[in-house]
Amino acid sequence: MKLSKFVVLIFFVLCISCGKKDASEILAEYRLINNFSKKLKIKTGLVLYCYGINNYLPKDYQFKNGVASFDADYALFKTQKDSISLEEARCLLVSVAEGLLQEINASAEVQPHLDVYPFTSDLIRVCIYFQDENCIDLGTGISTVFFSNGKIKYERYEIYEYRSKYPAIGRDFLVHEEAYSEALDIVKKQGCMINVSL
Amino acid sequence: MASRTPYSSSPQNVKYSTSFQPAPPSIEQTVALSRNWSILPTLPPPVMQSSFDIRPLDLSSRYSSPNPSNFQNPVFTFHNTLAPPLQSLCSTVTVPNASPSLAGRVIPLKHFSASTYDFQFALPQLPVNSTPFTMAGVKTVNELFRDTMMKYDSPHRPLFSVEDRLLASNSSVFFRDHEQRSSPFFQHNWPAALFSPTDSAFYPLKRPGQTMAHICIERYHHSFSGQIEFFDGVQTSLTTPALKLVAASTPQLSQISSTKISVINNLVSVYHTMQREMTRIGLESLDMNFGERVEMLAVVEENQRISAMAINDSMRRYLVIPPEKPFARYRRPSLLQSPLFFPAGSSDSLEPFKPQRTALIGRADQSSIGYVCGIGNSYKTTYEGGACLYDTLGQQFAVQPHWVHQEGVPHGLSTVILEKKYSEHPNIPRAFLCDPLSDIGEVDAISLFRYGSQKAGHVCFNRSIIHEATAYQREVLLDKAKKILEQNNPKLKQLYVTFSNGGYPMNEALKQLSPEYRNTVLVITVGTTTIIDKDRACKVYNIIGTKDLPSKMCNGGEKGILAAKEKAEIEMVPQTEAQFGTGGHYFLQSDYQKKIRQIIKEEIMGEYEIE
Repeated sequence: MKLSKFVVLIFFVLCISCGKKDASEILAEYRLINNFSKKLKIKTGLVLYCYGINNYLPKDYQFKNGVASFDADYALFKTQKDSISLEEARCLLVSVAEGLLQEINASAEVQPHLDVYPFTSDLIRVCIYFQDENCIDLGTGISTVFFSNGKIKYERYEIYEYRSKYPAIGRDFLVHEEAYSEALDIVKKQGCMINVSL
Repeated sequence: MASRTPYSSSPQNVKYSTSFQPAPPSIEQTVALSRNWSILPTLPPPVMQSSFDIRPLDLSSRYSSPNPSNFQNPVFTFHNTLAPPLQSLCSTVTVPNASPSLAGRVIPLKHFSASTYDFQFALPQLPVNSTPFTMAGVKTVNELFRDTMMKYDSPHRPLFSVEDRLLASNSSVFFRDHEQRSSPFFQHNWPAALFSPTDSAFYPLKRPGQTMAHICIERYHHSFSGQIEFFDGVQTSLTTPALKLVAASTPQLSQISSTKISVINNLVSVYHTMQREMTRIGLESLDMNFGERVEMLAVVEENQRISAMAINDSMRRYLVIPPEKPFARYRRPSLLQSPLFFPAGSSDSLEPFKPQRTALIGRADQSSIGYVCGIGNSYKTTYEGGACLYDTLGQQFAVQPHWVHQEGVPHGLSTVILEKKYSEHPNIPRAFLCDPLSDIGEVDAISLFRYGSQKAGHVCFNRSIIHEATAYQREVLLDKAKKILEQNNPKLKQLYVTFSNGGYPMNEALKQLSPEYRNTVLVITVGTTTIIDKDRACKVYNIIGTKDLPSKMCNGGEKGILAAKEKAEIEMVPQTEAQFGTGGHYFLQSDYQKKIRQIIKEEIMGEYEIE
């Protein structure tokens, strides 16, 4: 037992020494997503869940300058009894997507690496989870809103068995699907867009 | 001595009988079971008729109760007309629509047909003839703990949770055979290790504490009966009527708390593990009664953690080297010559670890996702990982866990590091060290270091099982790929989720496949020690946590991960949860699980069909 602890300790020390620099400090695109997400968290409470670049591209995609897509997942923590309406979800998602797009196009550091400039909304991918304190998706209202390839999907989560810890047993059901351009128009009409950059 | 309260229900009121068509176990199920539980002999064809009774049984001859008439209680019996070896299998499928993943647990049947039973009690995967005990009990070390647990109630959860582990590590288990010989008390303990919970162990206890529950298993002609008694902490004597799991009409069913169910789950789980280990080391076929077998297992367990190799090793040492403690009665000359412990030509390595499947989670007719575990996993934790994935995916897919690494953490780490070094620098001379560098995990790291420094200029490898893991993975991939290609459906794919070093054998196995076969494979690696290139399979998704230190280290830190980005799809998960030592390197966390779910749901399900 002592031996295994010793080995784990050595491993831990090696890990620490190995991981001094965060990827976002090295790669400008990661830095952009992280900085944007920090501002977003202050404004909306959305927490960055997962991020990346150049993912989910066709296998034979030929890069021109090196960056072809951005993706970011966020979580909004609520309580188990809370509910998110489709309108709220739409406003939030469009705000995030527009904010991220604006940030990408405004960044002098990232711009030279972009395959397409100005960057367009169909090249970003955003997902927002609405979840409770146990990281379980909300069982009422919209639980996930997912934007990819210019389309937005709204889903609800039906919980069959709720446990005190993740995961619950449940299933996702598609509630509504719409084009991003439609959603953008609606949000603009409703005037609920959140300006993240400010 | 606690007294038993007779049932109030009269026998004629509790007579139920039902007939139905149980689904025969699939070949895959059968093969999986027979692999995991080597006690299962060749199975006869399934008999399609089975019946159940709930009726009184006279158990008085089996117990040493001061008042045998108290046992004139109705108990839950399975009347099964199947051949004995198949009875155990069928006990898992006797309840219509019951999921095999629920096997071995006492579960409320609210999800199933309300007209049958409110509870199912099954001892799956155990042939009837291998249940020689009549009684097993759970006791707690601490009375206060017992009271708290027995009063505590929460929504039903299966065995895999922190509370259950807490329960397990605070309770002891004993067994009693037909001749009233009781085994020692065991503590079934999940140590709170850094890589927790990696393994479980039994510890004999001298002070067993307060009884929480008893479970009695009886063979009654061709039937199989179970009785469970709960000892409520609020009362000093046994006042809870035995076997509340009796019938649908029992009004007290709702009073069974999930904690009590956990107690029984724990007990059944302990029994399964113990039975499996006994069978594995060959105690079943020796001329010993059950009490002796259990005691012998206790001897082994006192020194070594429960794993096939550890048991074999300690058993060998125990038999060859006179132990300090007086266990003389087991040191029989016949045992020393037993081929069970010393198979011909393998005296230095008995029954080494082999990569294997655990039991399938979910139904055999569902599309299945393979889960490949990392290092430091036992059979149980590999199964747990698969169970978590199964729940994360809303039980829409079956999950087939693959246990490809030994349990030992030092062994695993040395394997990962050295294999990685070797793959980066293939010209480094390799030296294989045999005995005493056998596969005993705890010894490996130091031995490796010592022998490595002695033989300067050589990098020393022990007989790493990683090659076996790769070969196993290759066979698994190949087998499914052939089936997929036969169906001539380009959308049909096989999907795997790998965790930690599970990604390494997957990557190596993929390298050995032709492009045609590779194109049938979809892989999601989580916290992987090897980032898999996107060209290596039809689709590869790599997910790495920002606090996943082992994964980062094995992939060359942040710079290494960014460099790999050119050839691979990598997503970073800014983890919120972390453990001391390993950081965010554990499969069960919600961050990883959610990402897996999203990829499967959004990227895979619409695009491909899963085999």
